[in-house]
Amino acid sequence: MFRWICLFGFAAAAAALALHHLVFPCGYNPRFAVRSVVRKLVHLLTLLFLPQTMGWAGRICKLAFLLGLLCFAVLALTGFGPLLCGGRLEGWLLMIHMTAAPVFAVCAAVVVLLAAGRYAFNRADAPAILACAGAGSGRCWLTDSGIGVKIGFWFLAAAGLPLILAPVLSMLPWVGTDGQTFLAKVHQWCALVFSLAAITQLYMLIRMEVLRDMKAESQSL
Amino acid sequence: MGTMFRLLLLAAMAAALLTPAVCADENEKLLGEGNDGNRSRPVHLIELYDHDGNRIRAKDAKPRPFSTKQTCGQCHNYDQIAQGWHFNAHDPQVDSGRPGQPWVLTDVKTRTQIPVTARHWPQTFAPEQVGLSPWDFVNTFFSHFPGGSYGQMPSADPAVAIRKQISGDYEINCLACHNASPQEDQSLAALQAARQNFRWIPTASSGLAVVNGVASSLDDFFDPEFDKGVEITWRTGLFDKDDMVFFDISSKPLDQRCYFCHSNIDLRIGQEAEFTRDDDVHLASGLHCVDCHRNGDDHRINRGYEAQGPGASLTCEGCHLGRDKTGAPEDGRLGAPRPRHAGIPVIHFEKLTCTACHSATWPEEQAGRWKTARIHRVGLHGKHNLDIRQPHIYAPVLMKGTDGKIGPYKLFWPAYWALFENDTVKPFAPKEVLQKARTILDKEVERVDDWRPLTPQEIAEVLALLSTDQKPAVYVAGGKLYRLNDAGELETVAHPAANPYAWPMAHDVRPARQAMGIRQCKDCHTTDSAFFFGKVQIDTPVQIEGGPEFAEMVQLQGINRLYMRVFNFAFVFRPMLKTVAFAACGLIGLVVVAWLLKAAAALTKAFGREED
Repeated sequence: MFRWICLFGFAAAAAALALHHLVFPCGYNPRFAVRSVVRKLVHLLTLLFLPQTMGWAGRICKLAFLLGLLCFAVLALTGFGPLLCGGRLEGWLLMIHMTAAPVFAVCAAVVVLLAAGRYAFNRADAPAILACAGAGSGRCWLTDSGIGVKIGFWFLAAAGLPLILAPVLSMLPWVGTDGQTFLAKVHQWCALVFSLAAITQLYMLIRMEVLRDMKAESQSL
Repeated sequence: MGTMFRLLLLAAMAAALLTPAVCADENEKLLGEGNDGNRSRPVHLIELYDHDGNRIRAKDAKPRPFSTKQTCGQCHNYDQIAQGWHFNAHDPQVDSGRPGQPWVLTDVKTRTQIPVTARHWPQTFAPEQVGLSPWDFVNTFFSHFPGGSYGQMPSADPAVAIRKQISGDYEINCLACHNASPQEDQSLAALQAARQNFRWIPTASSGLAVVNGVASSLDDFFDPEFDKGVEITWRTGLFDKDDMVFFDISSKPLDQRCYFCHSNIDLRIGQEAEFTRDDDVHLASGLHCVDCHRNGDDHRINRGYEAQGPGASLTCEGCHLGRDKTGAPEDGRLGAPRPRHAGIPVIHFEKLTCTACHSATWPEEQAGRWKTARIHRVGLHGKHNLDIRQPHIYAPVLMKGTDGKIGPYKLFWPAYWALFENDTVKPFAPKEVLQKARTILDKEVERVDDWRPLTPQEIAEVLALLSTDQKPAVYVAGGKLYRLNDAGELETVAHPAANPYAWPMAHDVRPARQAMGIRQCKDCHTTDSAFFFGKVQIDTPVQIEGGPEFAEMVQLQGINRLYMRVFNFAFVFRPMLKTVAFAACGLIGLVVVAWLLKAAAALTKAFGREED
């Protein structure tokens, strides 16, 4: 049952994001020309770099984000991979999963601590939403105004708590079989929700970066 | 013609009148069949009958032993009982169920130890496959044989038929289980069986009479009417004035009765310390063997493992957890407590049997040697007390069973000579091997670890003698299959037939506080834990340079050794993982709460401003 929900969830998320990208395109036109695709890929790669202007807190935050992202990918692949293939998480994959998990937890904590201020809701959010929602702007008010990313950040921070806590609590010698089963389910469902939210968040972050770079490029011209 | 017609008519009418009566008799229940629900104990003050169905009386000139088939069969359906688990091993139609303890045919000279049973358990051989006729079977495994089955099979061999006439059938000894009298002596039953006094076994072992004489020593031409044979003397006061005899019968056999055949002896505990061993925790808390291992009139005893059938809920899971969660609650049967299994991840219940943590002795660095009552004939008293050492049985061995779960097992390494055909082995009867290779095998040599040692050269010589033009001979021992290659040199190969024969070890169940995992993960998940890396000696008569070889339990569990070591090593970091995870969650929680408070403060401020 959970397997089918996962399959459906990931497929639906991918489809929704693709549809969103088609309805609210961003980036360089023409979108599917070879030059444009290469340019996009190079641009995505540059997003991983640390800008010279960044302070130490920003650098740590970005490094933690990138490492956390890598861990998330490992955790999602090892966690959902066997499940989607009809198997279960065990053996070497379980060990890889368990190795990546604490690193991910630390990275998540660092990112939340250092980036919380940036993603706090403030008065400036309302005009941005209105600007995006303006007729003929071609922008999505949710993803391109920055509000979506903020919502995503706080949602992921909140969802990360039960996601990390559930398996650790089950390791304590207080939780019986029923509790273990419940916590395993909590971890499963939180992992699914967190993964879908994280993918969406990643999409929105990339979009925001691309839009910001385009804006900076057009201003410099 | 008229007279004839009238006679025929009369016969037809008589038949018509009698037929329903006969049918009614056939369908009528015997006195002891079924259960009317009254839980009181029926008194067994009964008549005795001999093997021909004749009544036995106190004043009979020539006292005859009583027959359980005739005596108990007056009220109980003997033929139905004979289909019960203890008596149906010979029947190929019977579902063999989970592999269990086989009989083991051992022969010192030919270095043979073969698991024997007619049940369809992998790696075992039916008696006829190892040259045992029913008569041979009973005479080989007599000491703990429950009667019935091979004990009642007729023989086409005239020589055996004559002996059977003298010894009688080895009927089911109902009293071995159901006699609650402290006089019931199974050791004496074994002695009578050793003497081939099969007909006299229940009479002697129940203590109702003294039996003198040895049937096996009587001449083939023995005539019971005229010759002095096996004689019995009834106990004084046994018969009442109506020639009725009282039996102290319990429908639920006493634990001590079961123990005669089902005792297991840990040889690491010396005889002087045997008193320190505890009983199974279920028995210690007042239950009895038959509380779980129940049966109906058919004597198909519930074997206690997860299976289907009327007694299926009488398992560990059935009583302690309840199988069917939708119907009426099943758990808590017989007062079984519900385990919390705190801190034990649920995957353990998929990978392990309940017994893996709760049964047998706590695993040690090296699996110990054990004896079982049936295989080593333990429980015979006095001068008949034999110190049979082989086969060497190792336990507890934590290995993967046919159900795919890891559990505690007893095992021994089969050793036998066989013909090799179509990748299967067909064992030789030990006597056949000895006949062909006596000069090599029947040499008095100093024993090494109870075995008469065997050199590779001797194996090669015996194999050459046993091989035929079409079929090569092989020797299975110590987990290897020895054979001669095309150049006539001895080589060893791996073969499933050489794998150890193992059967589950369900008892003794330890108290929960002695279960594995009570001290958390480190009970099993360390790089040198006995659970995974305990060793089992590979028992063989073949002399190997460097001493005996060992198999690790992880190998028998079908788990990659490197993986298990790395996995167990990872548990060193488990406390750190918990600390890091809690710290990370604490930090995230603090930030979220702090910004929530900040948001709340901002809202409060904003609303306050509006009101102003």
